[in-house]
Amino acid sequence: MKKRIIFLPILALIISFGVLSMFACEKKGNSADTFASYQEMITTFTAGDNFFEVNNVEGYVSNYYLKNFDYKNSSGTKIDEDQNYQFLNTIGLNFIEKYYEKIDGLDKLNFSSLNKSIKSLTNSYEKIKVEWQNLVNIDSSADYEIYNGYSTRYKWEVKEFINEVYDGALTLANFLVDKVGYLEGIGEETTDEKEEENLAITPQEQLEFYLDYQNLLLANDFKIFYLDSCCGQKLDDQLSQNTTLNFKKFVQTINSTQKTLTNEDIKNLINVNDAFNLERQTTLKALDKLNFYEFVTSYESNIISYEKENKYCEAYYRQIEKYFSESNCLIDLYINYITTNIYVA
Amino acid sequence: MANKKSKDYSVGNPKKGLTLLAIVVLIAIIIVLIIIFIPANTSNAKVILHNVTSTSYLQDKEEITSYEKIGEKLQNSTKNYYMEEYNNVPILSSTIDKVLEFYDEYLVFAKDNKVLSNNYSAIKKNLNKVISQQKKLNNIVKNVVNLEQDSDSYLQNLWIDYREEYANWLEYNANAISALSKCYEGCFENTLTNNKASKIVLDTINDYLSSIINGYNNIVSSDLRNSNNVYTYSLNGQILSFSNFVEKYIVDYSEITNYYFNDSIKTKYDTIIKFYENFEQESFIVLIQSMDNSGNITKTFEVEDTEGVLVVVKTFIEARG
Repeated sequence: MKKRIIFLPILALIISFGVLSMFACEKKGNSADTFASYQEMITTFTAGDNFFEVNNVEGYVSNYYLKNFDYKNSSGTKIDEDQNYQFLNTIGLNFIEKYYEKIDGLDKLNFSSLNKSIKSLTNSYEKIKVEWQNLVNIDSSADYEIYNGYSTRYKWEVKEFINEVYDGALTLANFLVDKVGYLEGIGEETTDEKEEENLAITPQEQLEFYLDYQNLLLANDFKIFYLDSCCGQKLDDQLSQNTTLNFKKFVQTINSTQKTLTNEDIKNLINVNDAFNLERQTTLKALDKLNFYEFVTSYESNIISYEKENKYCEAYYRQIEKYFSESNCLIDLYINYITTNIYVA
Repeated sequence: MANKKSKDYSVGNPKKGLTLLAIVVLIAIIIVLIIIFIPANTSNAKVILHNVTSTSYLQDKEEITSYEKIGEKLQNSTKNYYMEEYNNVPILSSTIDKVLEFYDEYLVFAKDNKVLSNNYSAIKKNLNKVISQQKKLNNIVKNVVNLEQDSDSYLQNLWIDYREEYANWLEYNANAISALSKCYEGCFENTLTNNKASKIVLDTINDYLSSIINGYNNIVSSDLRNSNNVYTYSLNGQILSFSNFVEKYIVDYSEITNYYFNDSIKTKYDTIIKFYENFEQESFIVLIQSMDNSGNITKTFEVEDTEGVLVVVKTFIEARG
C-alpha cells in the first residue's frame, strides 16, 4: 500500500514532465525552411510531374486543373468528372501559390502548423499521383467498367487531396492573420508614415488578401457541402444542382478585377462579411447535422421520412437551402453584392 | 484555562466535520444537477415547438373534414351569419402555423443563453396549453358533428363555446410567439437575418395577434349563450391582411435577408421606425384595429406627415408593398 502511495506521485510527475517536454520540444522551425518546403511543393505541383495543367474554365485561370479527371459512359466516350472538384482544387491551390511567399523572411514565429500542413498535402499528392498514373496506364484500351473503377479510385484520392488543400490554405491564411497581423487595422485611416511603414503589408495588399481570404472561406463552405455532406457525389436533387449553379457564378466572379475602394467601402465590406460569417456558423452547424447524401439517396429527399431519423432535419435543410440554393439565397446575395460593389463588372 | 482550551478544541469533533462535509457535498450535487438540467430544459422548448408545428391545428385531414361539417350545419341554419367568422378560422390557424414554422426553423440554432432561459417557461407553458386547447376544440367539433337534431340554438351555443376556446387557443399561441420573438432577437447573432427588418416584421406579427385577440375577446364577451345580443364581426379584414403579411414577410422573407444588401429596403425600414418618433403615443395595433373589411387602414392622424411616413407604414402593414 505504502509503495503504491509513493509510486503514484512519481508517475504523475513523469507524465507531467513528458507532456511539458512534448510542448517544449515541438519543432517550431524557421521561415527559411518552411518557405523552401512550400517552394519545393509548389514547384513539384506545377512543373515536376506534369500532373496538373494550366487552364481557364468559366474565366477562372489556374495552374492546377486536374488532368484526366473523367470517366467513360457505356459507349466508351470520356466524360468530364464533377467540375466542382476542379474549381475547389484550383481555388485552394491558387491561394497557397499566391501567399506562401509571404512566409519568407518572417522570424521568431512557430511554423509547425504550416510544416505539418505541407507534409500532409505532399503525402496526399503522392497518393493521387499513383491513382492518376494507374488510370493513364490503362487509358486507351480499357472497357468503361474497368476504366471507371480506376477513375473512381482517382476521384476518391482527389477528394482527400482537396480536403488537405483547404486544410493547408486555411492554415496559411490563419497564420498570416493571427501570427503576422495581416488584417490589423484594415479599413482604418493611416496618416502616420511611420505607422504605415510598420504594417506587415501595404493597405492595397491587405485588401487583396482580405478578399482572397473571404473567397477561400466561401469556397470552403462549398467544399464542406460537396465533399462532406454530399460525400463527394453528384446528387440528383434540386438543392445541390442550384448550389452548383451558385458555385459556378461565384467562380466566374472572383477572377474579376477589383475596384478601387474607399475606406468607407472597405468598412461596409467588412460589416457584410462579419454578418455573413455568423450566418456561415449556423449553416456549418446545419451541414454537420444533416448528411445530404443520406437524405437524398436513402430517403429520396423526403423530409417527413428523414425526420424519423433526424428530428430537426427540416430546420437544417431550410438553413442549407437559405444559404446555398434558393433564389436570392444568402450566397447569391453576397455574390451580387461583391459583383456590384467590389469587382469591376 | 488549559482545560477550557481543550474543551474548545473538542468542538471540531469528527461527527460535526462529517456533517459539514455531507452538507458541502449535497450543495455541490445540487449545483451540478442545476447546471445539467437547465440547458436540458431550454432544449425542451425546441422539442415542444417542433411538436406543435408537426401537429398544427386544422392541418390534419380528419380535423378539416369535421370542421367542414360545422360549416355545412351553420350554412343551413338560421345562424349562417357566423359563416364569415367560421371561414376565417382556418385562415388564421394556418397563418399562425406559418409563424410557428418560421420560429421552429431557427430555434434549433438558437444560443442557450439567458434570453432563452428567461423565455423558455413562457414558450413551454403556452405551447403545452395550445396542445391541450386543440383537444378541447376537437371535442366541441365532434359534438357539433354528432348533433342529431339540428337545433339552431344548440348549434349557436356550441359555436359560442368553440369561439371561446378558440380565443384561448389564439392567446396561448400569441404568448408563445411573443416569447419566441424575444428569443429570435436575443439568441441569434446572425445579423443577415436578425436585423431591423426582422425586428419590425416580428413585432408587427405580435401587434396583429394582439389586435385580433382583442377583437375576439370583444365578441366572446358580447355574443353570449342564450342571449339576444346583436352579433357584430369585423375581423375579416385584419385576418386576411395578417395572412397576407405573414406570406409576404415570413414565408417569403426576402426583405429580411435583403436588408443588409439593399439600400432601398434599409430606407424603407428606417422610415417605418420614424413612425414612432413622428406619431408619438401611437402604435401599429391602433392602425391594425382600424382596418375595414377589406383590410384597409382607416385610421387618420391630425399630425402633418411631411416625410410620408404614414403611407410607408400603411402599405407595410397592409402587406401591399
